[in-house]
Amino acid sequence: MTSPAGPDDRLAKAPENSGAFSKLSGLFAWVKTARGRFAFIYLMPALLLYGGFVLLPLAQSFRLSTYRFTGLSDKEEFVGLANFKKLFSDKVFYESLANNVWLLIFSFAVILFFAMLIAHASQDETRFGKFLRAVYLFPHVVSLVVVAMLWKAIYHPKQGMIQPAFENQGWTIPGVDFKLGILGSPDSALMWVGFSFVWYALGFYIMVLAAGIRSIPEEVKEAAALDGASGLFRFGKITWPLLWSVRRIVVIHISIAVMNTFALVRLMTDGGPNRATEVTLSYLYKRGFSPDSFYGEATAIGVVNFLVALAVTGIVILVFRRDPTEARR
Amino acid sequence: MKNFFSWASKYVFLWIFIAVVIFPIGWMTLNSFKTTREIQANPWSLPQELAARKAPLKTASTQLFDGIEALPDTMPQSAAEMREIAALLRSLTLEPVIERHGDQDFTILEAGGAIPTIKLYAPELRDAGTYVGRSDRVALNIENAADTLESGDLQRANSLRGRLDDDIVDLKEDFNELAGLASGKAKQGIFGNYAEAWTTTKIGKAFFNSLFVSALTMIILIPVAAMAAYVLSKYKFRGSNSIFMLFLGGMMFPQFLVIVPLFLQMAKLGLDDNLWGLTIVYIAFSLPFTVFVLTGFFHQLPDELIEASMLDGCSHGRAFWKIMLPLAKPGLVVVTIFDVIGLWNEYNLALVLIRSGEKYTLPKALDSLQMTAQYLGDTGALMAAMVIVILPVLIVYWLLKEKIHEAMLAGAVKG
Repeated sequence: MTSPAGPDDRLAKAPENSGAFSKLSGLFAWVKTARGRFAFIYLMPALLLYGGFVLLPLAQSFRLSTYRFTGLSDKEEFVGLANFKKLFSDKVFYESLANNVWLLIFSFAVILFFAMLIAHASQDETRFGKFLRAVYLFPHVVSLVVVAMLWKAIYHPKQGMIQPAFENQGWTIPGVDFKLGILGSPDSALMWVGFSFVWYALGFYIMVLAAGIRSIPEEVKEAAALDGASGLFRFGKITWPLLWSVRRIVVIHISIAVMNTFALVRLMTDGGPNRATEVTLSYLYKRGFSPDSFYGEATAIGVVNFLVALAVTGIVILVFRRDPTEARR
Repeated sequence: MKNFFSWASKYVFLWIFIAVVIFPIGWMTLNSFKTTREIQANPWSLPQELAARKAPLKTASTQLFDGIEALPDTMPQSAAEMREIAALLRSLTLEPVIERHGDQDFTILEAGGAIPTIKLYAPELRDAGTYVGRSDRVALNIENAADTLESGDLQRANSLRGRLDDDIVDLKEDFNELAGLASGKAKQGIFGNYAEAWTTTKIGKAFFNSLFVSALTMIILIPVAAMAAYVLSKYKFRGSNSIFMLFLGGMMFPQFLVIVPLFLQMAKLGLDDNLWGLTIVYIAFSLPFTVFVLTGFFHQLPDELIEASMLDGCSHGRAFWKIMLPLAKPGLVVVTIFDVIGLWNEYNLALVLIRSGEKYTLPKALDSLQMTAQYLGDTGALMAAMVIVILPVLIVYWLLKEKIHEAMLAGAVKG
């Protein structure tokens, strides 16, 4: 018997509703039991690492966003909301935020449409269905750095997949000036970045939606088939409404992913041409990690980016709040 | 007939989709076996030049290198001999190529004929307007020196001559390096781009750095996360739910919110630009997802197992390590796969926390390679480096795709 407490004590559950645990002395008493000590010791490494390297910087970021702090000197100076005020009079920041919103809308529309279509079409358990399932997640395990560089190469004016072929045929792409290159055309560069994002992300959402479709009760589908409902009709009346909760997950995920866009923009265009593809995070990086680092301002951008993501998520939850399949009252 | 039509349209659509997914990756792999010149000539052609390169270098560029090699290391004394060297240099003119990358034009000096392609990035010529090749420039300097000598200013001519010696040596070194590069590539044949990406661009070093960081992270992360997840699922106490929610919250907020303070904190601790520091950060950032999934797995295991093992005299710790942890193995496998893929591809944190070249992880090395490869115009090596980065992941993915689906779904539905 190594522990003086004995087996009975080890099996005893921590007394609940005692109220003692809210006090520090209660914590000590709990830690003194073998059970409490075990829980405490086993939880600590994770909590320390997580607290020290995630939660602490997180708290710091909200603090830092109200300070003037540059890389030039160690001096931190409290400036209140000045960083935010400066940000909201900064035209570039508005442009980058607008680009984020544009990417959001583009991704919502394109991803939801194609993911729904492909998830709906890839339901059969044939070998083809399995192959398709294996293929569509392919891009999602590829590093975003490679995705960005690959698509930059595909859009390349001379060595790319698209422009040389189009030029050979004498065709043009609307919005693209071949003299500037596909990613060099300010009018459409953001869309091409968005397209490479869709290429990367689509498979994930197909997977989620396909799992959602599989979870629709078989009887419902069969009943509809027996009633002679056509494919499109079944899709509109059964699949689409029954997937409302999955769709909510998908939309929330897309919002978070798009607001997190950084690697794609940095490596494909670095915000160019003429800031046409600048997003908030690439702007943050430029402010924070350029030679004259404005750490305070960069953090403020991070905070605003986070709040916008939160707001978008909130709106999504509001829009999808009510279960549309419930009886309408 | 209508049925056939809908069946056909469905499959045509799905095959187009499959093509759009696979083509870019296949195209990249194809081009990684080609020289940049080939890629430029036709991005869809099959690789030929690299395959043909097993033959020794017998091309226009050999002549160029031989010509440079034949130059004397020290400047001759007479102006006439100097002029001869200048003329020789001028005969080795390079053909300029102007390339556009993004918003900027780059003048690139192209050496050689069909095999091998060597390009020199000439940033100093970018704004010059007119093209002057490097050897041309040296030739001009030699002629200047000859003029000075003839004009009788011996002191000035001597100092010019001294500088010219250095110029010639520099020129030779540069070209020797390029020749070595080219013959190195040639010896590798079809895998020349891979050999170059692996050695000269230090992707090989970064590969082992990534391996080191991923492995070390997993070795520490899995026990730490499993211990926490076990306590959170089996040892409920007041506040354990809030701690769980705290971990869950870590999956929601964007990394970039903490990136500046994290960078400053790591710098203060002296752990920035340090692979061990990066590992600690990776462990901390992987904890939320890992704890979340493992808590779910431990939840499924019956409490009676712990109680029974304790009645048999096991301590809490022994019950965890000997009984519960082995039973949670499927969960451990799922999170390990998922975490390793994530770590292998991680870019944002490595970008900010790692600065020196010998500590680059793969994504960061690719990032810096893109900059330099652009200048060198070596698209083939760039493609090869990209294939090196994604190949391990794609192999792992193909072997374990069912498990990865499972892990991704588990991660997705949490929202």
